[in-house]
Amino acid sequence: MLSGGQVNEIIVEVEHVPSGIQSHPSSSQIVPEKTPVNSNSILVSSISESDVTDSQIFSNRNDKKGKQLLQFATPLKESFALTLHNSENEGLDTPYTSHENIQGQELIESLIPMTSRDRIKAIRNQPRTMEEKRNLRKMVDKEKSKKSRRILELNCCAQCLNSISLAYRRFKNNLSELLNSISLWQKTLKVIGGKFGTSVLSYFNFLRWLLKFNIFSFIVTFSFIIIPQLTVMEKNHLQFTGLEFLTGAGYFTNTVMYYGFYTNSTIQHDNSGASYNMQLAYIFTIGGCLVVCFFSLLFSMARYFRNNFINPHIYSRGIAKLIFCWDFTVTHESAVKLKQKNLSTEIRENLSEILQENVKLTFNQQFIRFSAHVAAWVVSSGVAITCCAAVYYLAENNLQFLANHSNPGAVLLLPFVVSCINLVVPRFYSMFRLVERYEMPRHEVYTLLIRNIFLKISIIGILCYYWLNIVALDSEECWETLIGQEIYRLLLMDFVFSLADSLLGEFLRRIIGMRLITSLGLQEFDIARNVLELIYAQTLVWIGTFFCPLLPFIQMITLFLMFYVKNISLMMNFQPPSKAWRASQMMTFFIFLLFFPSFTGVLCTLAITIWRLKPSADCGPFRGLSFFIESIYRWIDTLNQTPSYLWVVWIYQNLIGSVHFFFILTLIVLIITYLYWQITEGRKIMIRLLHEQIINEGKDKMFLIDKLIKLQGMEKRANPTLFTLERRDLEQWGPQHVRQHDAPRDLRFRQSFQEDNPKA
Amino acid sequence: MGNKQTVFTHEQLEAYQDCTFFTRKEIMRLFYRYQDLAPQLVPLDYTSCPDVKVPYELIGSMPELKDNPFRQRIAQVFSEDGDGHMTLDNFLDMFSVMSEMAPRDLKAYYAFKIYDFNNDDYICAWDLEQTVTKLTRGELSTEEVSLICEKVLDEADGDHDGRLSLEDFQNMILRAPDFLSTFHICI
Repeated sequence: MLSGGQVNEIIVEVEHVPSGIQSHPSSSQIVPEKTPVNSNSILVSSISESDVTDSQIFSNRNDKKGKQLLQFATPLKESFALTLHNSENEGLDTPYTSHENIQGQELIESLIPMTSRDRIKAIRNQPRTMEEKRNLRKMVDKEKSKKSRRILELNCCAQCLNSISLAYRRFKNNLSELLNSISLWQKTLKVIGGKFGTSVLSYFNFLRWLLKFNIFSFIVTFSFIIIPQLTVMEKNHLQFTGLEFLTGAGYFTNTVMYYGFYTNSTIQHDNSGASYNMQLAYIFTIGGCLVVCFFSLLFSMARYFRNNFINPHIYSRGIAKLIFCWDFTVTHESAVKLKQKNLSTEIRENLSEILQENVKLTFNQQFIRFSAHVAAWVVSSGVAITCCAAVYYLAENNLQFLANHSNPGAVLLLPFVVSCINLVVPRFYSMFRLVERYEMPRHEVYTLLIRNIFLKISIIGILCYYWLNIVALDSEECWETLIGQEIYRLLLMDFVFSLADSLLGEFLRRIIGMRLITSLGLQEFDIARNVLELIYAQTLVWIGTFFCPLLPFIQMITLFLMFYVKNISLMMNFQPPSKAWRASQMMTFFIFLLFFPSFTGVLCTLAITIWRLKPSADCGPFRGLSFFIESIYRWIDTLNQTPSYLWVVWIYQNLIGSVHFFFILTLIVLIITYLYWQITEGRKIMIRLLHEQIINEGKDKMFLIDKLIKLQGMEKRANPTLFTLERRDLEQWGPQHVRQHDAPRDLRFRQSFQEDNPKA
Repeated sequence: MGNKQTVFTHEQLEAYQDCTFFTRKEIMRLFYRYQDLAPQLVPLDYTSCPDVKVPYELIGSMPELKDNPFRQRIAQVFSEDGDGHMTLDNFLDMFSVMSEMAPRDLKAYYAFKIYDFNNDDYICAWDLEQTVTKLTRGELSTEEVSLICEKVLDEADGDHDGRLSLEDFQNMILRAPDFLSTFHICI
């Protein structure tokens, strides 16, 4: 060992310059390269004893070093990368070495040809300080203006495009500022996130997102159907009693609220020439709303899938995720303490699970578990089917029941029963948790969700069947208005029950948990159940908009009130969640649920209505026709007469109405899907191969280090005074080596190595 | 848009807008938050680019950060000299990266730097122990902490060199889709 304060004599450092991967792992341009062995320059150095302390070395030496550029790949198509250069051995303090200058120059070169939008995106995504980004931006602008000066003739097309893109960017900035300023409930959500974390926040974000749908639907229906109808309103002769708010019938029957009120004529005012065809307006407005909702859902779903989809092959137990995914949104002091406690508990559970992982269950235990699952599924399906049968029976006998009881409140019986079922049965399903045991906790969550969805969708399905097959064939009254009223009552009863549950039920549960049975404690917010209730309500709204155009407005008010009620109840009666809830995966699943059984079911129902059912003869915009869709057919026929709109007729006949077109389209879509599927399979294989390659490279590294140590050992024995190993390097490369040679597994490798070193 | 503020020049504000994920209004709002931390220290006129640093104690007392177990590391990572004292640029940078608009890779890079306590560009077992201790507030025993660090390295260390490099970390983050929503400070 050299005595204090010696100068570097011979320097050993394995310079690690990864030159291989230059783009994001998910892009298609991965070029794996083995780091060639002979490119590592090997130097030996010494350190004075006084410098050897645990970690202080690194923080002191690295602190004021030149800007370190970490290898960093952007997720965009741009494939520039910054290489890590461990400049520790250079005692220089200059901010830019020549190596980094070259990298910076390359970066600037790659930024110049991009469009301004992409350039700004690229600059923003750089992991550099603000000062560096500003300088980068300035340099790129300078270079770009230099280049554009050289090109004397910028054809006016390029100039036009430039100014258009600049104006568009300014417009987008202003628009996003405007939207941010009218963003609803920003502060409240921050408080909720601060106290309860991201998982509970996801429910409220979902609620806000659904509210946007309803606001949009309301604005569209209001502008295109309701306002025109209000201008030709007929006088309402019915009496107004207070009961209408609950039943939706009575006075409300002859208002713009229901389908039956709308006229089927073409509205014309003062012979001004502009006419407004109510039939077409009605069907196109509802269709337009649904189409926009469809695309909005589709794009949201795609975005969530892209961000949150994990390759199921590489699912890990998740202890690393617990450590590194601390929720930074939690800011309340008590919430943070509680979260830390919960995290410790969860880590302990996780550890014990891992330790027990290899314990196999006996056949007996497996059989018991399996039969418990089977029994639970049988019972839950049985309960769901019973409930559906009860609802159907009640619905069928509803008319006779109403004839016998003249109380106008009697129509509320069916919604009351449905809401009771929706309240009681999901809680009953949650109790299965006591009997069933799952290997992975997320299986439990998914099973519960599937059972609840099955129940709710079955009930809606039974009701739709009843409405479309029985009510619609009743030719006496305005059946569309009747259906609208039924849906209104269902929604209202659901809302009343939710209010009662939040205000009374949860309050009672808190009293019980805090005073009476203190071992229960406060309850936790059941995100899954609440989100399913939102999805159920939204499904009803989508179905009902055709029969009751004011329904989005009612749902808007409902959601608005629900937000505040749930918020207050949350703050008073709940505690933060104890287990880590996979919020992003769950949100993906919920949006998928909103799209798949819910929205597609709505589309099916409405499609059957429009194509198969006969509108009532004396009410509504489609009276007198034999099918709803006939209005479109007649319109196309009238267009056929006018020569200037023949292209619409052509589109209709050859693209929408033609079987050949859809056949070819389907074929093309199937081919593209097949190709993408094959590409995905190929990429999965590629990922696996690269993963193996990484492991092999690690082994190579270990092998080389072993050899190096052996060589140095031999040389040291030959010349003991001249050579000393730099401790830092061996510590860096040696942990695996040390672990293999030390009998007790000690992860504090620095300490152990220091103990070993004096012997060397 | 009328530019009625007198704190920044037009070019400065544009530069901030282009280099962070914030709109003009949000940048102004953040400036006033920064100014509120140390009203005597921070001038109301930044057109001359004054060199002002708000000390770490004031940054760490912000309501968004004061109970965060990693607030010291966050301030150190984003400050200019690694000591936690932040200029306005550092402040804006920090909240820009922690906002919901920052992409996953950018967040992963900075998260890696935050969890790398000894700044050696690798998360070694010692860094992991520090992280776990901060997360659990001393509730776990030393053996449990060591066991956890071992398990984490087993799971995430791709090239088996006993520590996590940036690539290992990013690879692991890919499998944790919650990362984007949890590594987020709302301001």
